Amino acid sequence: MLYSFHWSAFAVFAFFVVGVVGFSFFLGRSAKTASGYYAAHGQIPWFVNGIAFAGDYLSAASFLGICGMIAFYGFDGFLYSIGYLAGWIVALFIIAEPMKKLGKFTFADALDARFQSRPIRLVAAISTLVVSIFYLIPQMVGAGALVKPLLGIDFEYGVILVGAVVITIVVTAGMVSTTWVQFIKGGLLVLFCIGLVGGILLRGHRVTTDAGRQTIEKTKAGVLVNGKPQSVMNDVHPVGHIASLAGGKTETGPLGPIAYIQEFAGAKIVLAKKKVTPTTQGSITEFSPAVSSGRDMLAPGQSPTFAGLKSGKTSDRLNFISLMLALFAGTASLPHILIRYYTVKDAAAARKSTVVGIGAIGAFYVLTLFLGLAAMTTGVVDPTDSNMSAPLLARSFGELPFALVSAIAFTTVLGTVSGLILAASGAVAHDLMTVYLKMDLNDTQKVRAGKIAAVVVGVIGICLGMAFKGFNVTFLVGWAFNVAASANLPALTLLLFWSGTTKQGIVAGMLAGLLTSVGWILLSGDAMTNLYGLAATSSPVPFNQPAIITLPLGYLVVWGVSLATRPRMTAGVI
Amino acid sequence: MNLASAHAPSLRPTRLGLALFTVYVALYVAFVGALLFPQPADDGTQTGMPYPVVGGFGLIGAAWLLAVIYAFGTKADLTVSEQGGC
Repeated sequence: MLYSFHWSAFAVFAFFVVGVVGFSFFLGRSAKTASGYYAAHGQIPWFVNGIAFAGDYLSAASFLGICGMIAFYGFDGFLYSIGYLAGWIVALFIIAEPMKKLGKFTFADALDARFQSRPIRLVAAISTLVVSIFYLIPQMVGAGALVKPLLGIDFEYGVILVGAVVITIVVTAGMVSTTWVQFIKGGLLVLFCIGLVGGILLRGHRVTTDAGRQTIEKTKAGVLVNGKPQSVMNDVHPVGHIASLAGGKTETGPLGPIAYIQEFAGAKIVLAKKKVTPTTQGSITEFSPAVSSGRDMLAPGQSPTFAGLKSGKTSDRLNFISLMLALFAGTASLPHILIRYYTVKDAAAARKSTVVGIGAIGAFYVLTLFLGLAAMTTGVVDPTDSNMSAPLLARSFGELPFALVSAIAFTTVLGTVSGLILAASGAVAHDLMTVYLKMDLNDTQKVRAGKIAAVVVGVIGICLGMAFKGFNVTFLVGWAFNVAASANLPALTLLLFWSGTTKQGIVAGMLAGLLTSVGWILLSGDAMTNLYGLAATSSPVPFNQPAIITLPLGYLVVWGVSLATRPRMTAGVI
Repeated sequence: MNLASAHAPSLRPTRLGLALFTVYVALYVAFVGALLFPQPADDGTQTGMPYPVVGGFGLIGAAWLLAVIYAFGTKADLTVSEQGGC
């Protein structure tokens, strides 16, 4: 039985959620002005902001998605860890200090500091909304997946619960509350995962028996598991085992981190190979044991996303390069990350907090490999849902670790979604209503408008979260990185590095990056299969990840349009 | 007004920042490039850490190291700005 309700788990979970919401109400007293609501008065200490960066960034995609992807496909999931961290190098060395110096509340503040242009405001606000919503979807999917086993409620109710709690947090206290929630969550997540990996290393590897072949048959009458109606007592068995260890051992005993990976590399791993067969009534999904070498699982190309690396086809290789480019360039283009630079006092504090963030985020990403590999080999993985691998791994240590990890994962979603909704509400209330539409709002009205926008964006997130049920959350976040990198990074970096950049260039470049990346994603083979139920071969684009085309296109358009619209009197000034 | 010329010293990344950024980009490109080529097949005789894992940990370690170098390399600037408290 994979999932069952436990009061102890529920109690820990409820304690976390009530604590976080109560904390938000407490902090809400200091967020009456726009500066307090959107930027925490710029008074967050740099260390707190650094850990809050980790809390903001280590989303459901990082915790649930990456661990799940490693548990299913090995090293391929770790590639996301590497790419996500690499993006912080762009943030630290290129973006952090200028963002703090140029902006006030939103990403558009920095872009528009030079020109005071309404079209820039409009496009930047639209870009912020699109990227935030793309990023919001996987967080909601992760939340729904988490709440289902923890509270015994359906996925849809889980999504609604997360949406309601997050909207409450954002509406009560804005950035002050969001920052402290992210700080607490970021710290807890890293510390708890260190403890969990300690337990994994102490346990070491051991040979165990696999569950064997399993089937899930979906019919009009209901779902059959192994030929019998699905119920709490008759559900899919967890999978993922070690068939043999190097040297004929049956267990290793406690291991150091390097020895743990070396022993894994020498082991034979039994995974569940999935095969779906359509039937007249629905479908039959079969999970058969398949033996793989541990060393193969520590090489790229095992997952559908990266399988092309082994094919040698140019389009598959371009797809891989494109995703790694998006991960590298996307972080420093995410509006909900960029607005965190406004919560500290000055540029030096922005820089220091980024260094702290890199330390915490890097530490966590190292841990993801151990968490994922342990889930793969401990017989805990739900073959129907990769997102639950880390919490189920924690359950192998007892109900309390499971409750703690689920509660932390839930606050992980809360922290990230709070930041996303805040970024989106700032784009609506500050960029669109105050600057673009020139509505004469006083401080109180601006805060109220932001809160209403937060509710609307939250509800949109809830609806989309339900629509994308079943997607791996890391896969979905990859889309958000592609869009953010293509739409925002060219305009932002050329504004900093090239004095010839014009407002027309920025507007055109952002629009080009945004429209082409979203369009490419919606026409990709992945979208054809997962969104429209069509064959991947019906896609008109040659590969799934657009950044390798749309990011350079964004730069080209900013540059070309800027040259064409550059005032003569400033020509030649660089 | 040309913003870049008015604010160039403070808005553009520091030389140290650009140098460290270049170093990391080179490492990242080398890592991604190496993965494009077929990995050695498992013949059952290999021991030790697989190269992709070593490369991945190396990149994460490099990010830490460069961030620390940057923090120390810009310490004078940080100290001045810290005088008003954080």
